[in-house]
Amino acid sequence: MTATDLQEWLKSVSATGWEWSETNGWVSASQLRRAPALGHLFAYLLASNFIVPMQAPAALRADA
Amino acid sequence: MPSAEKLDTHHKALTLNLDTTTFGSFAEIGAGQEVARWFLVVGGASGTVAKTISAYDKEVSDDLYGSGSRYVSKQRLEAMLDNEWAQLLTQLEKTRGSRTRFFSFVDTVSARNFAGTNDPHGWIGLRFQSQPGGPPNDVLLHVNMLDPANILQQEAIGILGVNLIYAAFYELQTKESFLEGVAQDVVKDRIEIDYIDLRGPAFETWDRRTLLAYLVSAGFAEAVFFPSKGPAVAPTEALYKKAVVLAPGYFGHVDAAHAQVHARLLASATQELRNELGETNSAPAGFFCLTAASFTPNEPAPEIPDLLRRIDALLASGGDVLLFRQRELYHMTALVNRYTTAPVRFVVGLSLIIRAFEDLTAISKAAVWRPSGASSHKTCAYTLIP
Repeated sequence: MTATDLQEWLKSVSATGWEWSETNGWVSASQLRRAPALGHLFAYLLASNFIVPMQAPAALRADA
Repeated sequence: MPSAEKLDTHHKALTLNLDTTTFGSFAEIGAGQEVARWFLVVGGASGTVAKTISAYDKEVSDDLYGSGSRYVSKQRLEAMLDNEWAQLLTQLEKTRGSRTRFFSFVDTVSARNFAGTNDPHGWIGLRFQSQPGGPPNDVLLHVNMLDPANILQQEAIGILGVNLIYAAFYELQTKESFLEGVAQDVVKDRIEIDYIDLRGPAFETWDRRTLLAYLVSAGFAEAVFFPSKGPAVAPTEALYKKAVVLAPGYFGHVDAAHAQVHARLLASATQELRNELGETNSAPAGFFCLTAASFTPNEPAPEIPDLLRRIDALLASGGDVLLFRQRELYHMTALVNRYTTAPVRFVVGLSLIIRAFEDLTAISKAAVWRPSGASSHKTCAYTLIP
């Protein structure tokens, strides 16, 4: 998901407490963070591979 | 003549027996001869039953219907239909063809075995004439039996078979009246119908894809399968023993650009699972997953034309589609787990992940996060950047 789309979407559903970093304008699950306490659950699911982030191809840019 | 009121199984069988224009044969394998039995016990069977047979032994079955196909399969069902129909016409067409609407009812069923280790399912078929001397019409069904005991499954097949014959002769006014007649008293709680194929002039105005979608939206099936290539098959044939990637979503954008994104989403996740499993395992299968349920609790369920519009767009992108009755991912997992013990993965966008976290109820229920035997990681989710 692009960082721009993510920001818009979070606004539309009034979800708060999410932060992220981005690569070439894209955000993957591994770059997403949630404030505790749900953040601990999210981190656990990532660490235990229940959620497996997929990376955007290096050449792919969100604004391309 | 049939009554306008809703008849029970006994009265449906009796009505057919007393109708002097209907006459046919019954060939049943695997769950007793429960359909023919109804016609034999209600009285007047000589008015309907030309022959009953159960080629239970495999060698006998092969001798009658040919070898080479699995015994509980569509191929075997069609061989049974062809054989029984040809024999019926050879023996009776000359003497009573001018006044009789012939039919051949066949089924090949794997009911629950003693140990309860099999998947109780079966194929049911009917070839019939709408008018004496008219061209034949076919109805082919794939069913899953839900009763917990063999004897109950046999009983349910008996009711469904009588319903099917009765509906073919008296309830063909609309596809809804036909399917509701077939389903009466048995479908939903005791039997699922997850595949239907109709052939012949009696059904020429009925759209097959609409019927498949109707099976789900009416609650007759947990899921139906729409392949991007080739004819439709039952979900069991698409999922059996396969590692699976499921891509759930609404897929409301049907333009080419979105179709490309959707196709890449599924292909990437399927490749990820292939990498995870290694080359020694068979290639995983990927499916787009839509639901006939409302997207949110407050919305009405989608109409079938809307579902087909979205399904067609996904099929055009080269992806296969499973249409589920319910929207929750754990229901999708449960359906897939009927047919495979191989890994199941969901591929979802970040929006769905976040939505799940924002909905604590969803988290508490979603088997995607905590499947039984979680340590094996049979089920997990890929998140993909589309």
